[in-house]
Amino acid sequence: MTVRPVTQATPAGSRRSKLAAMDLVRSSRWSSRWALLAAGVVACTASESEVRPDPDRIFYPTAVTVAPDDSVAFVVSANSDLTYDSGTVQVVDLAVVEQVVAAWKSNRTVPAGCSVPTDATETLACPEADFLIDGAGVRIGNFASAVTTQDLGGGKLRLLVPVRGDPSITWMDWDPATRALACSTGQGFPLCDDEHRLVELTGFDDPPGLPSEPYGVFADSLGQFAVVSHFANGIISLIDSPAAGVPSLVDARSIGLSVGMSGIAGRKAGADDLLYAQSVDTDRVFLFTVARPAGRQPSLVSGGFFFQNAVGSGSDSGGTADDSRGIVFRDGGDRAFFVNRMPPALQEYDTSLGPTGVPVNRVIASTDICRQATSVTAAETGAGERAYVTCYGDGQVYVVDPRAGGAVAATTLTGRGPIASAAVPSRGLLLVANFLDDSLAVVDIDPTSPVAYRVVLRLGGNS
Amino acid sequence: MKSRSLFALAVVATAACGETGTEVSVTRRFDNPVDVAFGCYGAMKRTDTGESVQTPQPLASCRIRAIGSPAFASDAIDVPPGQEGIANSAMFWYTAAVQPTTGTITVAYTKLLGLADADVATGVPEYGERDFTVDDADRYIPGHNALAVGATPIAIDTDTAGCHLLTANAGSCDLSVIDLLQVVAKGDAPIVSELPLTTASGAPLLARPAALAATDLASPIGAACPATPVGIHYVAYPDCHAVAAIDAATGRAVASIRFAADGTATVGDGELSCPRECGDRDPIVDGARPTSLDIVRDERVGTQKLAIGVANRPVVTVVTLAATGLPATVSQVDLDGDVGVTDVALSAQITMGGNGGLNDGDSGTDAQFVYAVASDGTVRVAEVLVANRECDTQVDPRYLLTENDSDAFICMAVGDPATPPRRAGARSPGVEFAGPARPVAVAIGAANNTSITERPERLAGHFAYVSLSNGFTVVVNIDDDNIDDTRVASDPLATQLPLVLPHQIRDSGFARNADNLFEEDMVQRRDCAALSPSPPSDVPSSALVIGGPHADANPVRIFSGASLASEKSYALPAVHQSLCVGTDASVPVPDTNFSAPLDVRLATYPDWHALGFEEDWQFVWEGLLSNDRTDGSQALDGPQVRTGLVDIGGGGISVVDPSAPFCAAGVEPRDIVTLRGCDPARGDAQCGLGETCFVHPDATIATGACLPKDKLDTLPGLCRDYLVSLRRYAVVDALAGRLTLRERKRELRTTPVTGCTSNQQCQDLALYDAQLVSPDHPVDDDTAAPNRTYACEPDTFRTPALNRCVMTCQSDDQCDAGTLCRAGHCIEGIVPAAECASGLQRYDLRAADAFVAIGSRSGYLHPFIADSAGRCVKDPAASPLLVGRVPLTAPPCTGTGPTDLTPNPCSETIDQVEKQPDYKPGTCELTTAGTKLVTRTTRGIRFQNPLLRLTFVDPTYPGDAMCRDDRAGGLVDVPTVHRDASIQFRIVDGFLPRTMGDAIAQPTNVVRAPDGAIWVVDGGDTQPTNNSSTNVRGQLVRVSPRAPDGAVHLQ
Repeated sequence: MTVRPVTQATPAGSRRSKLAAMDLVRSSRWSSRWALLAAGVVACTASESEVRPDPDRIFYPTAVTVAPDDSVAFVVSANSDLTYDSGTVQVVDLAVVEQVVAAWKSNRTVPAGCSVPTDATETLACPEADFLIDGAGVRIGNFASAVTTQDLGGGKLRLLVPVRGDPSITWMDWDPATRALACSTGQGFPLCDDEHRLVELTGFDDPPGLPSEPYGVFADSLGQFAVVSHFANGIISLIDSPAAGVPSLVDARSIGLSVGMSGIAGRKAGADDLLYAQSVDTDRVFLFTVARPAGRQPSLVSGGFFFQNAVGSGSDSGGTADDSRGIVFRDGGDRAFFVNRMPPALQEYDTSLGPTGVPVNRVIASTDICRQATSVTAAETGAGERAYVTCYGDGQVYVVDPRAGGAVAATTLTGRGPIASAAVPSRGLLLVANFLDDSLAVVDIDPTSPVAYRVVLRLGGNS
Repeated sequence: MKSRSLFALAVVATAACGETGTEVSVTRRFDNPVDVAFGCYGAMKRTDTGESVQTPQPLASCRIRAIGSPAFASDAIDVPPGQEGIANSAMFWYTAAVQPTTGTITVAYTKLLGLADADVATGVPEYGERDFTVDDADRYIPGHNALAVGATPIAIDTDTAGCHLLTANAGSCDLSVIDLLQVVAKGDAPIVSELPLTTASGAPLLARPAALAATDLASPIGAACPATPVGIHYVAYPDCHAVAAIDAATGRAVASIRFAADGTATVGDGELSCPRECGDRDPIVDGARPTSLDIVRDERVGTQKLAIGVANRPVVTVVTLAATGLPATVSQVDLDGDVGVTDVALSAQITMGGNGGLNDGDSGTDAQFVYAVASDGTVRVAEVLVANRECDTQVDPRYLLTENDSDAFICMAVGDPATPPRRAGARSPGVEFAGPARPVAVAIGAANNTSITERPERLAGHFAYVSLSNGFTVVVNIDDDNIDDTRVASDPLATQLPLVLPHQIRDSGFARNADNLFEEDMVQRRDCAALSPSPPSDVPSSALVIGGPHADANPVRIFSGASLASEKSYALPAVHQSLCVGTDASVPVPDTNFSAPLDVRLATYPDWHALGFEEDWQFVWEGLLSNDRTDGSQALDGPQVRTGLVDIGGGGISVVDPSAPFCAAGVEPRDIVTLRGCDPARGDAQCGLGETCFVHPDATIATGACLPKDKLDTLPGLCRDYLVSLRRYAVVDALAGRLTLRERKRELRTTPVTGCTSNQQCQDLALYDAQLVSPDHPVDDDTAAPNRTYACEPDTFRTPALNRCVMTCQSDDQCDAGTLCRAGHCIEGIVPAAECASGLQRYDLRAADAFVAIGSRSGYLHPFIADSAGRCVKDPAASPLLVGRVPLTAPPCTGTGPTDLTPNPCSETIDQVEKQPDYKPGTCELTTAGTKLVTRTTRGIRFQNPLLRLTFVDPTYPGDAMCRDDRAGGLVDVPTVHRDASIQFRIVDGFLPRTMGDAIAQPTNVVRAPDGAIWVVDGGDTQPTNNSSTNVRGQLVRVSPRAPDGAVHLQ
């Protein structure tokens, strides 16, 4: 076996964008982290095969999303301790998940290799390998932070993944016929190639690089574009993503403040989709649209902002809700859930169009939630809609019933460091990525289930 | 298996998306409480044995003794019968907060305070934070431990005997019974027990509860505690579409109130058929979802009623309870609109009216109200004793000034033709709260803090307390028994209708009736120079609002010296002035000012409720349609400078904005769009990637344009005319997402507002226009005629029906800077080649030929909406007060009354009082006095919006003949205003809602305690990032209606 020095999927040299390199210098936190990690790399070498991620493992998952037909889930592993040479995107077969869960719930069938933890007897713990589709995953850079899907039609999907370590927006296509992700001509467990990593803007002689710290991502299938928030510098990036073509990074626009941007989502898919972008540093929600001027590349158009000042902060001046961590639209864009850390709150907004043709953007419900919330998703599975908030510090998911002003309907322990979730409404399940214990928790969200809002299946896990 | 170092694990702890801290393990006293209940504990003489025991007892035992309770107020030394000799010091209030996320309750207690505890010198005592002790439920575990009670307890209440607390558990679909004696004793006996619920026939009742309310069956004081809880407890089951009456002793449903799909309620038996929502579960069927309850026992009239709110139906339900606590009859009131009710509060039976303190039972009309937090962000009010109807709380007080029958105000019926119109912009009949906060919870209570003069902190009567999502709890007057109930003609300031009407947010203002009268040497004098009231001695120094609303100074006129000499500011329109007849001098006073005549000031501010505590108003000629601060600290009307695309084709130019902001911005045809380009002083910062801020070398204006860097060789030539122009266009069609523009001609600002008559008139007025810049008296003015030519002709894109003085030309050098000569006219912007404006363009929106009225709090008010085609049209249902422009001409006014609102604005003839220069005859030399006070009749434009009624006098100026301001020039209808000329003033001492206590994090509930205190339950996390010191996740805040400024915080 040939022993070669480790090559990280996240490039450290000239392949990094110029802006990213500058931002790394500015960020002492990241600088020290990289220095420490670099020291570790220098101190020893390992073979390529030794550092290639195990295709049967989930490790430091940071994002999860579900195909629109609820057939598969895509799980992003961030490789946050740099044990491996890359992160991954893996594919979970949800039919298998549902089958195992159903058998477990109905007659407590424990498949081979699975077990029942003594401290959680209603949970079935299984190796994730049994649920991952063989040969379907791909490798990406390190420190991926999110994932979104763009519907290409015919069951085909495009996944876009912000990768903080590159930084890049790495994209790959899913074909249900081959049941595999594609982002390279490589075989096996391929690393996405440079053509699938958007690292600089197109259309420039001296192209600016992708701004640093890509964080949140949203894809508009009808509008055929995607937008990315950046956790530093108050920038939103735009990706032109024609369904029949190749995505390209076409615009990066500042909101005018040097703040970290976090959650981002579109109100209603289509040409006039109004994009809402949150920040971790301010209580404002910034609005954008995507313009497609004739003869020029698409660009982001600022639509102003509004304040999230309907919830209390305990200050004399009343409400200011900032450190926003997620946004999800419902009812065709007429409502939205915002999740904040300061104060910890889940807010439901009326985002329907008012008589003047612009969204009302008025809070209609608010609920105190856990500290260190990381994401929100929502689903209706038969007993009214519920919002699900992942609580990183508490290891919980808060289940919020937004009706009647909002109330916490249940809390459930899902594992250490829950960081993202995705609902599978047709199967009555919620998938929760537990960052700190390398697992994917499957929560039963069927309201008719005796174990509703409990973890019924855990895939993977290091403890 | 690959190894992972501990070091690496430490690294990843901070690697996940900004996770910068870890939770410190602590025991919290409170952890997201959502409800609170009370207990009474202490010494009690057993009526059967005569022995004195320490025991829980009915809440009435403490209430009777307690300061602040209505019962106490009527008998100041009250002690429960048979309990004489037991001191207050032997009695304790207990308070228990329920916390669903941890399944616990936290208990606090304090010694009961009664009048016997009062210090004669300091008066009635009040609780302080040190008086309360937060109980530790488990002394063997460090820290303050809460008491585990069940799975997701969402509500708590006290049984009628006072010996048990019950929680409704949403996680286990049952009740928990907490033995209050054991809570205190902390012995080995069980404290908490499960109370499974069943239907009348004994079948398990496993629906998920949403609310709990206990009846008060007047349990005798002096009886021993029963072993089990007693009384009827009502439990709301939203997914069962019913409220069950549960016998607390057995857990059996003995009756119910059932809701049909349309929300209709009927009284039923206890044989409920509910879906199972705990353990094995059943599908949920959609239907009416009761989620909120309130029970009020009214000892004065001997009734007990239950109010029910349905979260998804526009109805409030009131159930009259029998002496047994079981439902007897049910009535309902439909609410206006498609709303649901998320919280309810029921009042006692109130004797309305009176101004001498709490007067229930005196002569007067009785009423009873339900206050309902509605899903539209308002609090709805229904009268449920007599009228059984929803009350309109938003009637415009302009229409009520002549109503002298206070009974007419008790509940003005929604939808009744006799009910006057609502305030402009009111969302519904409900009580609305300023700002974006939504009401969360409501409670109603009585207080009796009598005051001879109205003071905001003195509460006597019945009040609703509404906790808002932004952390404030606001007081709403239901029946203020310290103040008259109609407008008193002799004291109109103190009895402004928004201050005296029922169902209005309580005002925080002190000395609202303050005038500019003062007493000196035993003589009452009037100080016309006063700009604000002198605070009366009894007004606390902390008062934020004193006296009625007024401008804090004379309105100022701001204008450009390049358009008008400062010596000639009199030629601009002004706020109307009236005569203040003072003791020392009579002076003209603007109608906005404190010293304006009383009737004038009252007319200027017709609805104090509509006024903010403080607001800056500006009226800017052809001003921007937004005054949002450029630093982004305000978001009322959208950015002053927006970004969009320019669509060029077919000889026209359009601005396209995909966010469709134009109807919301209030754009009207003929308005002005300026393509702002970029400021070269800011480099390329205002341009997109790959663009540069380019200033054409021929430009005479300091405006650049963002051009692609790679096309700088071709575009400056191609786009030269566009780049050197002002790029100012006229709107000819406004859609929500597109403005169709046309080239705008340069016109003479002194064009008569009624149109010009000849080219020569235009040339004469051009000279006058130039003379306005000269400070000289006309007799001395040698200003030369300008070298510009004007033609009197129609301007299709501005005022088609009138001829205007349009600047004409044969070449660009005959036009003003930034304008271009096209087809014989100077225009302010041309339609360029598409390549010249192909990227995103910055633009602003301005009104044409009008002052734009913008308030710093109100923003730009207008009536425009988008029709089905997206075209910006006036909302036919909009109030005539939703107006944001003041033109120089308007239709004649049709009356002078407060309800003469159309046309608006309107034109009137009015007497203006002012000081004019006093010249020596035949000269422009001032006399010794310098000025003279004159009253002259002039033309004014009356403007009314929801907050203000103003008249701007002298929209045009006749010119001067010999001396400045002699007004003898003989010009007719000639304006002098210019772009950005403005009139500005600040209104102070407007309306400020009265609050209870201070702001908290996130209120989850507000509860009326037996002693009349209001407890605000704060479920919020006040220090979500502080892991080192106080670790608070929620708190209880007790506020006494007798001292609403103070609050006791239990954390």
